[in-house]
Amino acid sequence: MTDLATPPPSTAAPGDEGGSADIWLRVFDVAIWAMVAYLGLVVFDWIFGLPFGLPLDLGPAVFILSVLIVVKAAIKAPERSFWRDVEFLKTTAQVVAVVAVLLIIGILQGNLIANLEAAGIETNFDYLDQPTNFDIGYSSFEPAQPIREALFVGIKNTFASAIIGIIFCTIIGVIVGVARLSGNWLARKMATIYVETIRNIPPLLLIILVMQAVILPLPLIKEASTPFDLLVISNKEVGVPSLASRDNSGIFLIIFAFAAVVGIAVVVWRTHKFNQTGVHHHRVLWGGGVFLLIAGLGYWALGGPFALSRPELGVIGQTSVMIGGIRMSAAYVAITFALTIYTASHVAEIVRGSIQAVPHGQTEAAQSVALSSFQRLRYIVLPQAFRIATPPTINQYLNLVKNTSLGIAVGYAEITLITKTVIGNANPAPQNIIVLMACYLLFSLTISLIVNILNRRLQLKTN
Amino acid sequence: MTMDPLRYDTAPGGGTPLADNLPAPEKAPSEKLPPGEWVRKNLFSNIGNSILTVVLGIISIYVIYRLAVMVFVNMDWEIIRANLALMTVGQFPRDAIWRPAMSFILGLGALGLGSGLIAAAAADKVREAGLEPSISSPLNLARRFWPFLFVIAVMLTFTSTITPLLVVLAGLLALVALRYLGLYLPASVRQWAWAVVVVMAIISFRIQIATGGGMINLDLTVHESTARTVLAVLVALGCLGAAVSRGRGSAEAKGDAYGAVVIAAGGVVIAASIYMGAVVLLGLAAIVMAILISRRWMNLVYLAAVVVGLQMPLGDTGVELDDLGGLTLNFYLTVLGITLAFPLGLLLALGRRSQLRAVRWMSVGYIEFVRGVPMITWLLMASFFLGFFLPSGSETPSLFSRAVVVVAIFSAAYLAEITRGGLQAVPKGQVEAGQAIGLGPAAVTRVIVLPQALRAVIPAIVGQFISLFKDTTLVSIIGMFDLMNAHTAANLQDDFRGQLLASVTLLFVGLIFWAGSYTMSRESRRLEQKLGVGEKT
Repeated sequence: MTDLATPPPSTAAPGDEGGSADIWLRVFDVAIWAMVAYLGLVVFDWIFGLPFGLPLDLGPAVFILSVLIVVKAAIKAPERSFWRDVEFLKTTAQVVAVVAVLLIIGILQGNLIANLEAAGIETNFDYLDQPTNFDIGYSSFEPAQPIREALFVGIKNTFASAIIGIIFCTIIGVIVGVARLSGNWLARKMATIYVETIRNIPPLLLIILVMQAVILPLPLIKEASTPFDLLVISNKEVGVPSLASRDNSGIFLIIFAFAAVVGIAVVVWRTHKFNQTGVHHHRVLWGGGVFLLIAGLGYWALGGPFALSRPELGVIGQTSVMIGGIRMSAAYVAITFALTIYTASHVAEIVRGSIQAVPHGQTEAAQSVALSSFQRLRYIVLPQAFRIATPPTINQYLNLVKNTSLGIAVGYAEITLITKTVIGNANPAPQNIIVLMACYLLFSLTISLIVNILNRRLQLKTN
Repeated sequence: MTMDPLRYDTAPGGGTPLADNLPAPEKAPSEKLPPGEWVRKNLFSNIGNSILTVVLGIISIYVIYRLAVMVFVNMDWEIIRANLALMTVGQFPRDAIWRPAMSFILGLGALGLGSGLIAAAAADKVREAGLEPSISSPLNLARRFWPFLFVIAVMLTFTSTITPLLVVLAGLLALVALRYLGLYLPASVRQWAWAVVVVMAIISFRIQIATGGGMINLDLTVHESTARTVLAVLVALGCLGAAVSRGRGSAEAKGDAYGAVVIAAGGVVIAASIYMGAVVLLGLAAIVMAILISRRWMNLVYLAAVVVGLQMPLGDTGVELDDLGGLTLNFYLTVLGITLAFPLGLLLALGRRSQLRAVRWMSVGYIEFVRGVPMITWLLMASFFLGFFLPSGSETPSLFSRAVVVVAIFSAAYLAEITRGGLQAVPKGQVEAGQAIGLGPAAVTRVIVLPQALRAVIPAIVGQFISLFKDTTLVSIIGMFDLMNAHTAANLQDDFRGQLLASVTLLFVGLIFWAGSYTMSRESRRLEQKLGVGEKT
């Protein structure tokens, strides 16, 4: 009968026994890290170039590294038949998968470079320094500037459209989303028709429709309409007033920033007092009041550092042009307006879904303690709905940014159109597309990261 | 089985009916209000509401009036009347226009037969549970799909001859008749009927682009390129591995999702054989071996159906893939894109949840990369240099094929995210129960997790179908003659140039897209309600 007091023979890893197996593991560890460092050198050389040549190419180096990893896993396996060890099999499977993918990518890239060279197209990124040779409207861009500057103008244009679109689509989306749940039948029906119509047509079609049906029928710039003497509306461009800086505008901006900081400090102080004593904070009134006081004093003391620059119609030579104010091209107005409406319909659905996802018990509890419907919305339903709605809404913002690439259909000079024009000017297409993808990828990965962090923070902590 | 305490005495050792003559429960009083009260409650309940109603009422009456005037009085619909063929079939040679018509009828027939078979199988399951199944009658179906029928009726008002009306009627007749056939077919014959559905679907696509021989290119010369050999060997090994593990599995999957994946992979291989000749034989051999090992003989029949569909001679139209146009182009891009994306999306979703770190990172990398970039950049890549990835000396694939490949790559990433959501929704207890009865990890995924996961995300997949349908308009930017480009071409014709008729054609095109998307979104919502997605189980 076995003695239950003595422990069973140890099946610990070979490292515990000490001796040769342990040393071999260390050797292979060192070899693997050396190989990884060498691969890093190869990649560095490929991107930046090293003054000396490297003995092994990427392919053989990867092969040796995979062999090293597999052999180390085999050594580490405790049983004599290492091919039955789960860890060994897992490691081998991963190595095989990675090597297969790298092989396929290598073959594809080899084909690409061979075909490009056969067609006489360059395979480097030197085109970025070449002069652009075309003009970009509504910007201070010269054709002699290098192509990379043209791409920056494109990115700026993309964001100009996206930011306005995001702000307005949120406002409209929330209004329509709440209207879909309103008690008023007419409001409900109109919101439903809006959402169900706009959501189901392609964004490209909406953009072109807005351009054709809304923008082009506007009056020519010679006879542009000027409502309220503040706007200029024509079918070529739309003008809105802007702030033109006069003297002391720089100092005023400093005072403005200072007032904002003081205002935020007041808000924090009032919140702290509220947490300590329970006296209502009125922090918006306090913080906003302090901010307006300081900014207003600064404005008055500096004698009005800003003036309103109204857009006006002038004549240069034979053509009517718009002078002053902010000039928005017809393409910009079309795409921003269309994307705002389109994304707003999606945001409305998200808002509606998130309000309906708040458990009905919350509404009933609020009614049972006699909160008015506005108080119920403001303090109980909307804060919880906001938590549910935030990640999908941010996804919709991302979609809006990606949809600005459709500006190519109405001639808005955002980054996709500029890339396409650059390609059309006999620049290599693959590099251009790679740069274009990298721009969008950078932005969307950043937003994804923010969404993930937000998701984790917004989640209810359940045990 | 719990006993209803209102009807049975649930004391221990008990279980007797309390009363046999309990009155039947009454229906709750109806909530319909008389008209006056309804108006007062819904429109004028308080001051704020009343003002809102008045303002909105004025706006909506104005909008409806202007719309009605614009549509019925002012607009010149001649441009649509003259260009209806251009918009539906693009630049298809007009003397062979019976082919798209036949394709329409065959497609609707395949759809009807398939829907009938699915409804019959579901009804059988319901009958097994002892309940009465409810099968939608054609009238119910007409009510469900009214936007689709409405748009077809609108399109028919623009036709000048009676032929389109006859074609549409024939198609609808085929749909209804074959649906009834599928419903009342005996259960043993149903599997064979699925083979017929497969053949009809493939022929309905091929009949437009038939060029004499079949689509399977049996050019058996061994190409010196390593890529094709590597791909062929990988696919063959994959199919074999699938079959071997399938034959070893102890549980029989009723859904047979795995067999479908094998067949789909084989289908991709066969479709790819248009360019790579030697791959076909290897792929076919691998699939046949896989079927023989797994002993699912019906898969042989489906394989034969696919091969027959692809090889049946259908005459010579001289129409290349790139000559497809109009609404047909958008439709086929969507269908082919999603079908090809399914296996890849499934693999990516499983890879993203894998325990192996390298596989997980590669799946995440692919998904985030493809989703982070707008579709138009992928299409630009397809139009400019996708052909360069093939070995030197091979002919450039047609723009249509390149667009389909790119659409499939794009949809696979989105489908992977959707399927991952479904996989996460399956409770962990299911996996543990499977492990407790001795199933291996592959069998647990195949038999227990996947059927539940896919069932949960069917509505989301329909949503992705809608998105894809709307995104196919982007191919107009890379020069394919889809519905959007047909609208541009119509406006450039001599008769209609410069008359600012773009809004007319755009409204018509928008109506078509709206009908398709709205129908699908209603179906998706109906499926959600039917499957109880999101409700507590």
